[in-house]
Amino acid sequence: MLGVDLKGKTMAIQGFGNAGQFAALLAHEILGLKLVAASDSKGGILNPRGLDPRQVVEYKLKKGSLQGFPGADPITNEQLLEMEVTVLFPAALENVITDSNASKVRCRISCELANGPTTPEADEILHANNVFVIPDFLANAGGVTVSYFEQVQNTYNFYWPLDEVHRRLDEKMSRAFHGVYQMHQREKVNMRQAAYLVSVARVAEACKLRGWV
Amino acid sequence: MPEFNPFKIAQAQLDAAAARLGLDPATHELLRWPQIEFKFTLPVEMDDGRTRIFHGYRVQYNSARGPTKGGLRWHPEETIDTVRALAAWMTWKTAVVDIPLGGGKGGVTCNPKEMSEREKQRLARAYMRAVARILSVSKDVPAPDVYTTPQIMAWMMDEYEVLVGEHHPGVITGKPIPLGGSEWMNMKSWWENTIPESSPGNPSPWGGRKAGEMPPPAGGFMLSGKPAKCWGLT
Repeated sequence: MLGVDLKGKTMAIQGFGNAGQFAALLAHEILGLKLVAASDSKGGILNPRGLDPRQVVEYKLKKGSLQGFPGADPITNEQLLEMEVTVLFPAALENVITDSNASKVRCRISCELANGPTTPEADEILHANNVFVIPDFLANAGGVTVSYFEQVQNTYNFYWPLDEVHRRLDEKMSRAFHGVYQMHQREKVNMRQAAYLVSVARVAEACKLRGWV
Repeated sequence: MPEFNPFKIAQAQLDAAAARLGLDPATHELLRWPQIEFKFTLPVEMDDGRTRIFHGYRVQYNSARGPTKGGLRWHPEETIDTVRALAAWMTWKTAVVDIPLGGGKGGVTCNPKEMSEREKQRLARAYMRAVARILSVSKDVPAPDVYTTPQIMAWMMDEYEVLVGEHHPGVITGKPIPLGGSEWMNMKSWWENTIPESSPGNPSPWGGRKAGEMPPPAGGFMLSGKPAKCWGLT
């Protein structure tokens, strides 16, 4: 799609909580991305030759922070965001990529696992610099989708096998991504604006059908 | 630098979409604001015997497409505007993946890192007592979020079921597995329960587990060994 082969390419993860940890393991295992840096609220770790995601997750869960992970150099959260990597995962809190640092963000893809990590001014800068942003409310929608599946199973008091959860999640996320990507191409807007066009139109239609407006 | 207000950002993002979609002014104004919002005080007895008053929030941003859905954040800098913004984003999130739910969010201004497990349980139950009347599987369903856990969801579900006198596991998601939750949601419990030790020479992060035993992850990936179709970026 973007002409990027992710296998063996680099990733950095800002925020190493639940979402960041899953991203480290899965993007490594499934996409073949190499984890070169990760950070939490106390600071980050860096090894350009690659960090073993499994060991980093284990260390974080045991020690509660990444500090002192063997074989890595310290790096600040600010430095991590400006690293030249293929994929950056902002996975901490909101407001980390702003107009003051966006021009220094040098990733090819920013996959937003946190909510609201990028300000609107920063969005413009990233778009101009050809950074492909997978916006928060698309990239991290797998969580609420499985929450919805949980709720459905609770209501029916009947539980699906794991394969079924996988299959349905893949179907939902793939359909959502491609819908937004098509809108992005058709309307020549960035991915966040495209995601807004898709979702606001759906909510507005429901409001109208109800006779609210 | 102007003060960062995520709700102003959420509104600005909507404004741009509304202009491009040519939304009529009434629909645009309706979508700029939460439909319903609740703010409440939560008296909680701390371990030292003193009572502390916490401030809690629950915002039901838009329910046109279904019951509102969204997490509960326990964060020292939580404000009503943060909760409003996140509730708006939940509305767009459930719509973009096309699940029949609306958007909501909740939170408590607190620092869980400085609280004991007993204090957290009392806060969780106090929160549920305050919001039980506005929740149900067909009204509004919370979930874990920043600094909230499956255990906290379990206490809240229990408090709700005590109040209504029936089982209603679907009133909250992200529960521990024995209470009707999904294994996929929390790395810590997954790690502790399923991956005994990382062994050198075993390149798989799933340890020695068989593929079918793996819990699904929190994101759009397949664990069948191939990426989900949405990751076909090559």
